[in-house]
Amino acid sequence: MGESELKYGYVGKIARINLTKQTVSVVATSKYVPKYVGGRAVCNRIFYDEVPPGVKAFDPENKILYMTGPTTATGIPTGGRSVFGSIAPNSWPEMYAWSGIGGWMGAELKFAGWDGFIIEGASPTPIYLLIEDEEVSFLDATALWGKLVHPTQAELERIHGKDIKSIVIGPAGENLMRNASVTTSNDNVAAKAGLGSVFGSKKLKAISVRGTGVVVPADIEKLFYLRRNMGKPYMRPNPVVHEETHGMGGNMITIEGGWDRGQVACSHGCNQHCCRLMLNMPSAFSNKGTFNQVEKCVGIFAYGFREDCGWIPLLTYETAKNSLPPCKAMAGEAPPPDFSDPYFPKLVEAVPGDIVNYWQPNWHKGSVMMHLCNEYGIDKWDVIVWYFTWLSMAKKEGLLEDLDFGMEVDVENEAFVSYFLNMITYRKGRFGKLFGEGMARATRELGIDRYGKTIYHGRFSQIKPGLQLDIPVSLETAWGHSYHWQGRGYEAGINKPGWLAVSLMLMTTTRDTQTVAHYHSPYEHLLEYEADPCHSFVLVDDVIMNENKGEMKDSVSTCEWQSPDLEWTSMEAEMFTAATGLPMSEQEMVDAAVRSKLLMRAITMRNFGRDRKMEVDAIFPTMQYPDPRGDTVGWEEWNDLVDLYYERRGWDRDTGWPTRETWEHYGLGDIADDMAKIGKLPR
Amino acid sequence: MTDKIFGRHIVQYPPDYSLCAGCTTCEIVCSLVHDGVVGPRYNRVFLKRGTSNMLHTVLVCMHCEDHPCYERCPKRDEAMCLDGEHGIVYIDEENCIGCGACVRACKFSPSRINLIKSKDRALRKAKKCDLCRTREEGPACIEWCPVRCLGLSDRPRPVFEPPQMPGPPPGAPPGPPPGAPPGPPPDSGSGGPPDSVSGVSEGPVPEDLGGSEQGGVSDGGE
Repeated sequence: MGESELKYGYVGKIARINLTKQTVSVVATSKYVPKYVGGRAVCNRIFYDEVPPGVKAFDPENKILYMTGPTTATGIPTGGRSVFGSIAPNSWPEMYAWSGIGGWMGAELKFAGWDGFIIEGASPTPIYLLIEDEEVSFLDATALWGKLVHPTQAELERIHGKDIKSIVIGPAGENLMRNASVTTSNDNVAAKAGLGSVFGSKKLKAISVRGTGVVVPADIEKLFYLRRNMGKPYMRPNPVVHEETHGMGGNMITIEGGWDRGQVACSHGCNQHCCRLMLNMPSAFSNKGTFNQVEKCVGIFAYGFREDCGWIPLLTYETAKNSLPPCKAMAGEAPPPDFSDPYFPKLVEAVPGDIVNYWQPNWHKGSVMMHLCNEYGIDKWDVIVWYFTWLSMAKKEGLLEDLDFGMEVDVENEAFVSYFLNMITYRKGRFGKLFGEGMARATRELGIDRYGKTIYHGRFSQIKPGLQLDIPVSLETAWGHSYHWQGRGYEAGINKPGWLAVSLMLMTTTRDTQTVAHYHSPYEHLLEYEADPCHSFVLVDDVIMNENKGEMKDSVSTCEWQSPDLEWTSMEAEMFTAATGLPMSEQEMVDAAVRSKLLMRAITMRNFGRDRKMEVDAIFPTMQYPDPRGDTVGWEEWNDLVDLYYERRGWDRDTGWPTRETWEHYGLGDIADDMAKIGKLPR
Repeated sequence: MTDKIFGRHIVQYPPDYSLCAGCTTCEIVCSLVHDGVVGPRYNRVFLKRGTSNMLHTVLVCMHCEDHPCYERCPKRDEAMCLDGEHGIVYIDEENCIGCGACVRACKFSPSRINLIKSKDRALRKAKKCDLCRTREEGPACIEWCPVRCLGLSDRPRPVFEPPQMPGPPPGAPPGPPPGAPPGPPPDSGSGGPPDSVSGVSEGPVPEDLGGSEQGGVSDGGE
């Protein structure tokens, strides 16, 4: 398709920005779309084409890919989200991953005339990019280097005007802390892959954008239809609410004087407001009074983590009459239940979270933890779910007695929280250097058997009261990430078919998938596969559907709040066509998602040696600790499930490698040829 | 000051009625219904982003009674026009030459009038709120605000408005979800400023007339 045919949705150009040479060149977006749609799928194709095996995360040859979607800046809800792709420093081992982000910058970049950028090389000195329409400037960031996240944003606005839109890193990224995030001016982050430290490795402090152009959606009537119907927006006032308590269940805390809660949107043009805004929170900096912060679900646990998150089937399983996107509960906007649904009583059977006793509720300390993550630019997820749970469990199991952190390890102590986060951000001393490498690497350096796999004896089931459940002190699952909806670790309450599905989704990728692709399934499907989930194509098909939806979300782009809508399965294709004017059937959108997944498969096979043995060996051990019901999965069962999955994907059962027929069916014959050359095309 | 200062205008409700979510829907639908595009030079309503503190202020033309933009327009009554019946100051873009005189004349800072700058003189146009005067449904920003934090005000002076509850849009759920905080009744309030939430920035205020901006809460610090 020629560039001139991209009249709507896209703006037509991708900027190739070389930090070493300080040069900019133009790549036509039409080189990649509509075949690769946008966002993550385009990142995947560019990475496959341009980054050869052997490149490490902090090498100048690693690239920071950033792409908007065709719906970005059109006014189609959730289109404001955009995606990074790069070699992730926090994955174990280092592998390519993606990371989504909200905010206003994606839209602003399109107003400036760019659908995305490819950043390559590295600057020898601190630098930031200023993109003003066609003009890309390489500016000295010496004065910004060392600044915290929000002061960096404020300084960029002071220099370039309030209407500039920036993404920045904090000191964590500068110091190559492997869980470093990239932050927008409205406190959205790309955090899951640790890409802030890739910015740091390139001495890239920030990217600021101002655009004066336009984005033209193809079908405005349809656009307004989507605004009215996607996520069924409530279209009613959103008052700031004074709350007396915070948290749920055993983590609930009563706050003296209460606190104020608002709800805000994460990105340009959305019709929802899923982010919780916590107003006037205690600051981590004694001279600065209060601050406002955005919280998503995991943040709740910073304030108290005596018990794990509970679960109800409705968070995972849906009927035509009842569904509940996982994050929607945070806004207090759960849709009204339909009691006429015969499955309703089953859908709301509560599963309480395990008693874990990581730390007691503490309002001020929790706020300090969140604030420092915001300002240092660290992934809150890893801090809350992994670093501090490990400190808590390892201490209780007596593992830290011979490790001198320079301060007594005490996760209940606000001063220690500040001390530890400062230490790993600035890489101070032996343990600052060590833990700045992330938990996966730190526990291996210390000795994984003792410091990672020692059993914590403080986890107790609330489903079977009194039952102690083994869990390792390091909540590591596969690929250097921590558990998420996997039956153990954080959000463990999901049922066995659910955690099997989630684990299968994790197995074939490189990072936690559940932030963009929570597993959803029709409740009636659960009834079909719950007795024998490891031998069910119904479960496998639902896994693949969720994986495909994840690819679509990051490519079109939309988000976890809106998709999948199991009652509106063509929604993403309709969004694409409304934005671009290009016809796209539901099946064509599914094919595009599979194509994106296959590109990811090609990258992990060629660059990172992925095959069946590697991924089964990575995921299977993580399911050998009991779930809250005391259940695990056996080797044969799991491998039977993997067989079914590979078969449905058109991948060879023995190797996990796609067949030529599969590559070619999705228009990737060139990759089949490449795989044949390196001996990775199954016969 | 007893004279009327403003005509009918868009108003942002205080956050204890509805907090602006920062979604920019108002900017987007404004440019879509007027021009069929989305772009920062095309919207007539502006979201002053509260970066870092996430408290946002909607800025828009107040249709001043003395309308200096109209007075300064070199093509007065052809480009900048008055709809006397409804008190609306609007631009007939066919006749606008994009000179920017109205932008400079606006008494607000930043100006509430947008301007498309272009090397091509024919493309230079000023854009300002016309309250969607030719649109049956009324102002699009009000209709499409997902959190209903915008409304119309007839008040002649810059005070906080009692919220006017808009009717539910087609397809909207019939009532609030369980646990949703109730909004005030449609005709409640005295018209004076309600008790504001501590530290939350507020809508247009007298200081905004070229003066200092209302402060928000701390952005955090170093």
